[in-house]
Amino acid sequence: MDWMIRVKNLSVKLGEANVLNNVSFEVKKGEFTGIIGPNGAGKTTLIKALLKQIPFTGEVKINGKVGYVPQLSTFNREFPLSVYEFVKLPIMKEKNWRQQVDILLQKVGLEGFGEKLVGKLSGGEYQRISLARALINKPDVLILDEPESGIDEMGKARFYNLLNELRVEKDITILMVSHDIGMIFEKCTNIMCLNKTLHCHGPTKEIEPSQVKKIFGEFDIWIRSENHFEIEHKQIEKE
Amino acid sequence: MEFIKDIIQYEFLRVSLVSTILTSVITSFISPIIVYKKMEFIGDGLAHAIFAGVAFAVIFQFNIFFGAILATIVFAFLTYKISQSYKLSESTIIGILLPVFMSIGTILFSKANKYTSDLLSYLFGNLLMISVNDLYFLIAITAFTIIFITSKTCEISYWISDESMAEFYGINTKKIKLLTLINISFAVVAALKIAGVVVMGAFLVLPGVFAKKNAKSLIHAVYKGLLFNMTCSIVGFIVSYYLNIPPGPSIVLISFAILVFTFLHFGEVIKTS
Repeated sequence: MDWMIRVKNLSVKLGEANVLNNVSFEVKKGEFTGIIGPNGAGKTTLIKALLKQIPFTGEVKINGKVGYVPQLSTFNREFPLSVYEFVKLPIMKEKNWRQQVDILLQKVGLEGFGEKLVGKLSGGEYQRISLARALINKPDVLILDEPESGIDEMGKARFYNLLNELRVEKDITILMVSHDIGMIFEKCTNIMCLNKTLHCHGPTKEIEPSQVKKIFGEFDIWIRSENHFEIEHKQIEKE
Repeated sequence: MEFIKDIIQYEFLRVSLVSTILTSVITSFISPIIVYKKMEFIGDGLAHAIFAGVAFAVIFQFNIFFGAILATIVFAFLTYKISQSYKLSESTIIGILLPVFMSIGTILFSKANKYTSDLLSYLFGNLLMISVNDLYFLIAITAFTIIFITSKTCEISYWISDESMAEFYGINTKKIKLLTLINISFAVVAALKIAGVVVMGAFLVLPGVFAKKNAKSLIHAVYKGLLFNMTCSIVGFIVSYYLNIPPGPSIVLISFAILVFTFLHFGEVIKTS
C-alpha cells in the first residue's frame, strides 16, 4: 500500500447544493500536495470530509495518524491559553508532555515561547505553534487548511520551508489548501485543482498553466517566473 | 458594630451572610466561562426561566428550589438540544425561550393572587427568604461547581478557546457544554434568593468581566473573580443591611462601581474586554 490518502467517488451535498461532486484521488507517501481552486470550490469541504467532520457519500481513507492545522480564525484569541497548553492538546494525558512540547517549539523556531499567551502571538507565530500542535502526536499525514492567511510574504515563505524540512525529516505526507498559487507551485511536489470536482491532479512539473487557468474562470493567471504563478482579478487590471 | 452585634444575635443574618459568600464563590467559578464563551445572555435566560419554575412551585406547593432547578434544567437542555439539532445560535434560541418561560410564569402567578407578595422577593432577592436548609443546598452546589471546574479545567479551556479542534483531538465537547449549562443553571438557582431574577445576569457576568483583564489562565481568572466577588458581596451585603434594601441590587451596584473604578484607574478601559 503506497497511498496515504485515498478518496473514491466523494460527493458532498449541503442542502440542495452539490459542494463536491464525484471526487477521486490518491496521495502517496511523502508527497506535499497543494489544493488550489477559487472561492466556493469546495476546498475546505474536502478537508472536512477527509477529517470526517461532515456527512458525505463515497469512500475516504487515511492510512495512519492525522495532524491538522486549521484556519487562523477558529481560535478565540481573547481566551488566556498558554502556548504550552495549546500545543499539548493532542497529548494532554501523557506525563512528559512538557518535554515533548519544548522539543517541537524549538523545531518550529519558537524556543522559550511556552509560557506566552496564544492571543498575544503574531499570525506567523500562531501558525507555527499550530504546526507544532499538529506534529506533537507524530502524525503520518498532515492536513493544513489555508495556513498562510493573514501572514506576510516573508512569513509564508518561512512557513513553507519549515513544512518541507519537516516533511523530509519526519517522512510526513502533507495535504494543504491554499489561495497562494505562487507558493504552491514553488514549494509543493504535487498539485490538485478543485472546483466542485477534480480538474487536475499530478506532479507540479506536469501541471499546465492552462489547466489551472480553466478553473479560475474570471481570473487571469500569469507566469511570473518559470514555476511561479500569480492571480489577479481582471477588473483590477482594467482599473 | 451594630452589624456585628446583629450577626451574633440573629441566626437568619448569619445564614444570609454565609449564603451570600457561597453564592459569590459559585458565580466566581462560572462567570469567566460565561464571559469567555460569550454566553452572557444565558444567565439572563436561565434567571427568567426560573420565574416559571418558581410560579409552578408556589401554585403546586412544593419546594421553590426544586421548581427553580427543574425550570433551569429544562431551559438549559432545550437550549442545548435545539442548538445541536438546528442551525440557530444559542442567543437566538434563548431570545425565543426566555419570553416563553416568562409568559408561563406570569400566567401561573396571575392565577395565584394570594402569593403575589412573594413575587417581589423573587424578582429582587430577599435575605429573609434564606433558610438553614437552603444553606445545605448551596454547600452542595458550591462543592459541585468547584469539583467540576477544577477537575475539567483543561477540557473547558480547550472547549472555550477552539471547540472544533478540541473535538478533533477527542475531547467530548458536547458533554462539557451540557455539564457547563447544568452548572450555570445551578448557579442561577443558588443566587435566586439573594440576587433575584432581575439582576441575576449581572451576578453571572460582572466577576468574569473583571477577571478577564490580564488573566493568565482560566483558573487565574477564577481566582481574580473570586477576590472581586467576595469583596463586592460582603460590602454589598453590609450596605443592604444598613440601608434596608434588597441585597441583589446592592451587590450589583457595588460590583459595577468597583469595576468602573478599576478600569478607569488602571487604564486601558473597557476596550480590552
